[in-house]
Amino acid sequence: MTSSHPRHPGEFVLTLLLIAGTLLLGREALRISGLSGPSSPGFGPLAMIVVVLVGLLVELLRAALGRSGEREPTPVRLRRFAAAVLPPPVLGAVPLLILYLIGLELLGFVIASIVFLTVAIGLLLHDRPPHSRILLAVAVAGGTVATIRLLFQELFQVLLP
Amino acid sequence: MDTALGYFLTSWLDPDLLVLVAVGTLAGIYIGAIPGLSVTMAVSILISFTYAWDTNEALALMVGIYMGGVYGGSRTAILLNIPGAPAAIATALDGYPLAQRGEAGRAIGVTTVVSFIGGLVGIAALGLAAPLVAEVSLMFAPRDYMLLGILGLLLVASLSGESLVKGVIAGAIGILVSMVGLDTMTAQPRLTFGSTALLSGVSYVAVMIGMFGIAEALVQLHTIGSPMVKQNVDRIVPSLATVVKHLPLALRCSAIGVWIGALPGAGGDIAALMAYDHAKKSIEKPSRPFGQGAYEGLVAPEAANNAAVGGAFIPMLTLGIPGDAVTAVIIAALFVHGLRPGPNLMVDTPHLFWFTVGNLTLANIFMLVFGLTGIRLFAKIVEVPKAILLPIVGVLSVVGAYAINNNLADVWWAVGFGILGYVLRVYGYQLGPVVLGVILGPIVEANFRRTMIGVHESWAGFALELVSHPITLVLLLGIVSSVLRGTPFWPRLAAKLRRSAGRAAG
Repeated sequence: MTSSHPRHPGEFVLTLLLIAGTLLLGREALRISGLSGPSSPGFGPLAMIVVVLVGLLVELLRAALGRSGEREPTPVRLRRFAAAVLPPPVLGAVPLLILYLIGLELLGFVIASIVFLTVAIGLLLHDRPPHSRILLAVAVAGGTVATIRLLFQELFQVLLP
Repeated sequence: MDTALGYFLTSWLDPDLLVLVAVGTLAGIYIGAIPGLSVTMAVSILISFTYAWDTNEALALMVGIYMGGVYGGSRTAILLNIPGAPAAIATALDGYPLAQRGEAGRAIGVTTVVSFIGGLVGIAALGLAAPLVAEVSLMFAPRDYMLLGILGLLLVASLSGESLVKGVIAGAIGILVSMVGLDTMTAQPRLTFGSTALLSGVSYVAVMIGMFGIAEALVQLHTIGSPMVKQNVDRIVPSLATVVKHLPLALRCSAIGVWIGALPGAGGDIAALMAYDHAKKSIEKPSRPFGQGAYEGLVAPEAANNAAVGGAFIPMLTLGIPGDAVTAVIIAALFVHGLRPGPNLMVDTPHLFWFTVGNLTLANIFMLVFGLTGIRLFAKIVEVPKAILLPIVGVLSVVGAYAINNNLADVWWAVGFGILGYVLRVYGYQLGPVVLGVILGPIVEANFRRTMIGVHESWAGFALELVSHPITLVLLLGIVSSVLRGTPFWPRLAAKLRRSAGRAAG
């Protein structure tokens, strides 16, 4: 079998993880009603799990066949993985986003959002001089949160976290 | 007829709705133009904000954003060689070379006018075809809806992304997400892992905000360092002679756009690429070679992608099957407002259909007006750095997810699906099939179960059902052909069929 699409660094491992997750879901699906009949509530989930599993096995095979015979040294492979999947901005953004959600519960929308926006914009504008990027980040964060409060609470009449 | 005209003119005569369509179109043009912000993202986030609104107001805004956004993507495609939206990928092929020649203004003018023409053709097709499709769809049995849902998923899976297999996996993941919670027929908990919090299922709006808002923002972080290009644009209104010269191609490509848009699951991006291909094959003497600044290479995709907007509403309003990702999101909005798109929508709530057609027409006119003016403001807005834009998208996604049920759990879901969506995107899985799976999953499953109950759970009876009715057979053939096209054998099979056809003709 040949593949017509590019290999992504870490694809083999990701596919294995997805298979493990799908098997876990399959165990849960079997508890619903097993295979008692095609119109039973458990049939649909099981059928979809089979579809996902078969697809993932095809992708696993492709990923396995696509691996080059000569393996690159681990540091090179890690660098390629980091560049393609987890570049520094993404590596920083995901934990920051999670901290923001925790902050929302602890500090409320206004403070958590201002802190999140200031830190995120400040970090992403790394090519600017420190004092100007901090000023810009604080100004944008304050302006954005004020606009969101005004616009969404007044115009859209939605509750903010 | 008078009643239909009255519904059609609702937004034209109501100042509030008129302003909402105008604001939506203007916002759509800018959102579509900013690389990294998509129309689907904007509409997904907006749904939750319009919960408290009247249905008409929510629809007026969303329709405006949709129409404006599909057009807006062409601006940055021409000026910066960065398509603002997937539907503008083909536009960049000749648009950017035109900008490099100093003809950006003229190129934008031509795209604006042909987008308007394409939009009108799409709306006319919607107005004329939808009532007919709705009548035919009243003959649809549950098995047909099941097949139509599967066809939609397969089409979007095969036409987007790296491989059909990845598309199918993504669609199946979406269907699995839709199955979490209490079963609608038996009230039995499914895939809940014993958690009571999951009994009510996963909010599809949270899934959409995660997949189209947060995931997209994370993907855009890959190109955070790319510099913003300053733009220089002159007068953009094209001459009448230019418009007349390109009208036949614009009309042909609009027809392609309507057809592709009306296919469940396929939208403006595919329509634009197919129209570009049509222009390359059908125009013998383009104004310049294609890829080097041919106006025909602008006219074809832009007419098609805006015509696809009207086309995408046909299956959505008549069958309840989304024509593309944005109409999938708009279906979710209609669900939120207690409406069920489908054949009965035209019977029970005809005002909604003509109201949508009226809004689309109005948005198309606003698109023409805003498209040909306000270029200086436009240039400033699209120059906002991603470093500022993307964190704001993150906050808006959080606010939008919270607004669904005023519950932080939905925000966590949105972020969770955002991270999952990012990983899937990076590894070549498209997110469109996931979201379509979430919307189409319940339709496919419920109609499959109804069909099975109808044949007393007999697989032989089920197979007989699939081949003994003309509509069902056509849909089944569509599915088979869609699957075949995704296999490595297809090119050889197609070549063999062409040779056989050639021999038979010769």
